[in-house]
Amino acid sequence: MAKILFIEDDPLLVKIYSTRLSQDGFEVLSAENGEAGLQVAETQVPDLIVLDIMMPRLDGFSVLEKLRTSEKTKNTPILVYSNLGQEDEIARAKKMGATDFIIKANLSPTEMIAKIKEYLPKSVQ
Amino acid sequence: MKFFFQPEPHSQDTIKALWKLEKIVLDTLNFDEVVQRIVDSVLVELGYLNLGYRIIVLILHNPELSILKRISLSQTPEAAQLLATTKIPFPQMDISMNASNNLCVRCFNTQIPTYTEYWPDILTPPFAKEDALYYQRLVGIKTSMVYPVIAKGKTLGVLIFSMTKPVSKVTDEERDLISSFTSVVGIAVQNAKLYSDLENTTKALNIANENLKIANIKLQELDKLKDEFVSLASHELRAPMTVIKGSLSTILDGYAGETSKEAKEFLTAAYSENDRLIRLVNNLLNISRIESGRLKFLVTNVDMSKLMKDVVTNLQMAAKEKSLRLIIDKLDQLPFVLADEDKVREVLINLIGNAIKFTHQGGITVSAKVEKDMLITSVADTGNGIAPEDQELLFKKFSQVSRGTYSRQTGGTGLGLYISKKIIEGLHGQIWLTSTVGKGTTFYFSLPVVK
Repeated sequence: MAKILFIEDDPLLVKIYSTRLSQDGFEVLSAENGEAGLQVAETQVPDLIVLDIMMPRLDGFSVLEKLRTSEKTKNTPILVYSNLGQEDEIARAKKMGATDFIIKANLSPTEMIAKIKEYLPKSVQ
Repeated sequence: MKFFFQPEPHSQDTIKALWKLEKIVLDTLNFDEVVQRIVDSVLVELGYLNLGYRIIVLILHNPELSILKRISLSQTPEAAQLLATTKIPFPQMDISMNASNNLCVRCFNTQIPTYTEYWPDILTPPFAKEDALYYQRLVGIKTSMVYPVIAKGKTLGVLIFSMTKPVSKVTDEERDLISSFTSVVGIAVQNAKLYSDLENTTKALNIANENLKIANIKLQELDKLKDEFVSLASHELRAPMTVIKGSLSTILDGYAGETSKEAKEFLTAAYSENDRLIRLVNNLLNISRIESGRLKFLVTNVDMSKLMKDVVTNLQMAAKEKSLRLIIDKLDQLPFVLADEDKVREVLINLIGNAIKFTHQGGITVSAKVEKDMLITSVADTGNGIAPEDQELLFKKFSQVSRGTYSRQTGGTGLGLYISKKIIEGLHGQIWLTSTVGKGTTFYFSLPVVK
């Protein structure tokens, strides 16, 4: 069963995705801030991480940087998932190793889940 | 015999003196330097002629303060002695223009050369009569000639020539020489004034320039702040819309239990209206970036067929709500295009969103084909069509065509096509349309194919 980690401070969004993904047979982990997210990523080693940017304690960019330097998560697909989305922010995230940058409001959950499935490593699909 | 005691200036010498003076004053541009040189060289040239001249003073009119101001004084022992004695320092020996008995003022006003053998005539004010007479005796001056300094018919000031001989010994030729000197001085003062005005203007311009630069930097900072604000505000606006979108679609997709057909209709309406809000926010964000010249592109290889499918899926709900058919025409294998995926997505959303908005029956067909080095994407609707005279207005800002078939009864800011045009042109493509009133409209845009 593929493990998806949501590092996301909006509990409603997490609920939407955990409802849908768990019915689709995924295991959904979540962390409501950057620091907690790093911890879960280290201990649970998810197959894919969905990462918000504007969060308490540690913002998404810092989390991304740390995730990419950690042995356990340096190759994990990371979808930056934010309602920011100026070119500068997108370019910055991609340069830091984000697999993709998704503007939250532009995708319906169906589309977002299609993205998650698309980026999930072949081994767990 | 007279020649021995009172040598008259020889005309050739006077011409030479005049020429020298002209050269000196015209070679110098700095105002302060010119005025000093004027009095010194006048005296030097006159001195060569040995005519008993001791002190030359240049006085200029200051219209702002309504005074005659002593500007420069020849550097002679008599002048130095005078300066060491006077109660008021030289730069402050101003004469009010109201002092109509002062010969300097009178000469200035009448433009007629004059003279005096009684110093209070030129020194009072600012000095008391007794002081003026004391100074005159001290330096041994018998006569002071006062000449108006004139340039282009305008009096600039006066020049005082003070000498050790009585006025009766001043010859006509000498008067001519002084008069000629004074004319040269007029031109020199005028030039120096113009030059220093120019310099001051240049200085003022430089300061203004510097201020402009600072203002510009401030504006750029403000612009950046505004951009950050817009970015943050749109983030805050999109955050709740995302949750609404996610929640509604989760219910509509059946993840939250059974929903009645009627409830589904309302939820679908809410979903597509929320989507409309999201598009509006996206367009406002784009407009703000276009207007501040900050629309940037993140160009990658974009899979157009996938993008088309994504957007069509995304807008299916809105089409369904109006019972319109929204389909992708059978696509050949499409090459990738060089574009900014998010931006092209917005163009497609704008075009299809418009088509849905302005079509009331039938449907929308999205298609694409390769022509030369470009991929041409088209969005065709079966709406009312757009009259030719309205077509050119379409891509202008806030230009939702307000008459005829595209009437204002449909909502929207009229920004979508303007933004789409800016985006497509920024990506080196073109956007255009064909339309037949009563039959429908097709929008096209081209993007460069990845080679």
